[in-house]
Amino acid sequence: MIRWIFILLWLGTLAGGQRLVTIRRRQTVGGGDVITRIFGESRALISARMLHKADRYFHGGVMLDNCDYLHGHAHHHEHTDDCGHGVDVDDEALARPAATGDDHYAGAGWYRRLILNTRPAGHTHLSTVREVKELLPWFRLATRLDPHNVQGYDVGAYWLAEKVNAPAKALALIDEGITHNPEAFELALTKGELLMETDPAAADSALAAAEKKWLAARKKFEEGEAYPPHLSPPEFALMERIQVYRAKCMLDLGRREQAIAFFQRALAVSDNKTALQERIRELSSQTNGWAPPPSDH
Amino acid sequence: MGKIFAIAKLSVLELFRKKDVYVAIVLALVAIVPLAVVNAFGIEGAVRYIREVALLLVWGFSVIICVTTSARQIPNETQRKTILPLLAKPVSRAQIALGKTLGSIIASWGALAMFYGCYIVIAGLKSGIWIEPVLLQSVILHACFAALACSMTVCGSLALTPSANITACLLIIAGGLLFGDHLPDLINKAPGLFRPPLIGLEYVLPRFELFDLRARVIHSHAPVPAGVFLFILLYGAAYSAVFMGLAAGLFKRKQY
Amino acid sequence: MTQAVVCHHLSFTYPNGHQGLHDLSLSIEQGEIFGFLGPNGAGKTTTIKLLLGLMKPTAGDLLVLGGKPAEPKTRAAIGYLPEVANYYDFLTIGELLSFYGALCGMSRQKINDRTMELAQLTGLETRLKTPLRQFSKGMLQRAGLCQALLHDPALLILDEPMTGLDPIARSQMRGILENLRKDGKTIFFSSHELSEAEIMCDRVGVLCDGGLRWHGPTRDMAGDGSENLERKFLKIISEGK
Repeated sequence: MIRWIFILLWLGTLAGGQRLVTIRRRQTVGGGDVITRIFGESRALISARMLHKADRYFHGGVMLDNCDYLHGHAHHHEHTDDCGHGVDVDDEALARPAATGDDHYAGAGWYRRLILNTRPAGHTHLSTVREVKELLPWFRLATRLDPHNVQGYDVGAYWLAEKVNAPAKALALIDEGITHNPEAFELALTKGELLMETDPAAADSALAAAEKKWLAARKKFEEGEAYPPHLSPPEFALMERIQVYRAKCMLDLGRREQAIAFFQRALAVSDNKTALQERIRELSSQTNGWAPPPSDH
Repeated sequence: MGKIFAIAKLSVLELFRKKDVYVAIVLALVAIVPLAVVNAFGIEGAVRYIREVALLLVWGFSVIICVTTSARQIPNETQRKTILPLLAKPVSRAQIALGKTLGSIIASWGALAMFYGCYIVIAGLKSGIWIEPVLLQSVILHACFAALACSMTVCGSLALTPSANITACLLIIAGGLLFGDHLPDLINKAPGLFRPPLIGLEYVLPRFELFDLRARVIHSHAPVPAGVFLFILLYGAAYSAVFMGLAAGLFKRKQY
Repeated sequence: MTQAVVCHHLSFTYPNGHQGLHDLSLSIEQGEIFGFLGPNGAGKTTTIKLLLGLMKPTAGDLLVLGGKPAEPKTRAAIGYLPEVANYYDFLTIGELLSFYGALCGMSRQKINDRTMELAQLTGLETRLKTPLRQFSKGMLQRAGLCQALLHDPALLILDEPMTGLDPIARSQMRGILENLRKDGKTIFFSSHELSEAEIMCDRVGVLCDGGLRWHGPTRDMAGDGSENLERKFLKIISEGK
């Protein structure tokens, strides 16, 4: 009997997964592997849960919906340390949903008090190398379960490179992601970002690829063509970032004129023009001539 | 009490001699050991994921063992006709119901001890930390949960068919553990007509999720305040006592 | 002689409306062997379940050894051998008797002594550590007799005790029951095998369709010898119908 119950539950989960996941999937490298056969389309859902799990781990087991620090990095956004809800939240404060943003426990008073005391409380971020390693298994699982989980590759590579000091492993992960998601400009962008300090030429090459993919994506987006939902929307802010990074690579390679040209391109798509104009002025005053930017697309 | 313990001892002997529990432990080890050996990205040092997976399996298997062991205690006696010589002995129906419940509780505790033994060894080898106070609290509350789950299932076995009882108990327990803490939220958002039954569920069903300290153990948080811990233990004991009383009453009315 | 069992207008109706027993009035003297005869479905097992307090009569009065059978202290003086010998197959006979002994409130020493005694009586002394799942049907029946006799009951209720036994085992069982009668035990046994009743019983009762059709000394049922017991039995049954 038990066996039948579990078979039913399992089938239910898979059927639910099939219905819920509306992502149009492409034929992928390794698409016929064991994981795909076992989990089917529901693997995308499970993979997304793995990323949530990493988020929860990052907060020491506390689920804080309005603190998207982990994913903030993936989208290359800035993060405020307190996520708007205070760094050191004591139990009493946690008992007030409004103070924490955690309004899951809006039940009877006695139950609220008990459940809050049995769950991890307080707002912490894992910070030491040893602590941050706790997140890695979830990124590995997320990307293994769903090779189209672009965010999993992106965020995983960030933590590997920046927090665990394993840039080679971060690059390997990004390369794996690029293989599975050749259209994902954000992965090429992250690759360029990872290479900037050690190999500006290679970084520029990766960023050039990112730019090319962004333009292709933008074209599809503007023409109203079907756009894969697992990829980030081709926002101008990301194009600006690509151009700024390329400019920095040029500066590292001693090509000031080309750097200015990339800053100019960034200026064209930027919302915040003042800082870029200032930077261009500063560089132009140091240079004698002007050369056109390399044409790589 | 001697008669109750004699009946309880029989249930414990049955669980361990029929070897179901060893199968569960082997299955759990098969799932955990490879995870403990392999390191994500070849980088050593992650521990919490092992705790997470191992505790998930410990809880999952303990729910299955509690429910399946308790659900078959009295129906199996009827099915194999051992109930007749048992009832013919100078022992009351209440003593039999209590003995059967106690037996399934002790058997589940035995299985839990084995599961947690494996957990402590695996997590300890990986992290170097063996037993933390919050883990002790977690084990004690888990044992209390097992007692409550067993009492509820034995009680259910006297009112429902075995398969219906197992299905209902698994759904109630798994539902409570997975979604119990969202029930108040669900009540807040439910349309007017659905609220009264949901509020009824909230107050009638035991809140199994209160006994689950896994998140605190995984992330090495401080132990639960003593007052809260004792209150949850008393809450579990009170609910178990209610279910045992109900089971004794239902069994007394049965004719064989 | 005092009475071991007294039934007065005893009736039992199952929840589905089927009348299992109708207006049974009967008394069994202490120290006698009473045979309860009847075809399958006559109500023999229903009567036994009422005698053991497993079911409550829907009408009538029932006293067993002067007490109500639903009370544990009454059952402390009853030994019961069920028709189907099913016991906990993961136990040994020693463990089974320890378990039942504990339920009867016996001391560990007393249980051990009685276990040895009964094992010798039933020829199971070499099998004390063998799990019951390895027992043959006859051995299980003997194990059942051990558990029924364990607490030295004053009244033995045996439901089809000869079922499944080979001739040698039947003969042994008969010998054991004879010895128990000599020890002053009351034995109530149900059977549909008339030859067994003729050999062993002081008195018999014939049950058909839930009603007692005839009861009295075994020799009276056989009459003056002009007709055998089987023919008389069939006559009673057909008259009853």
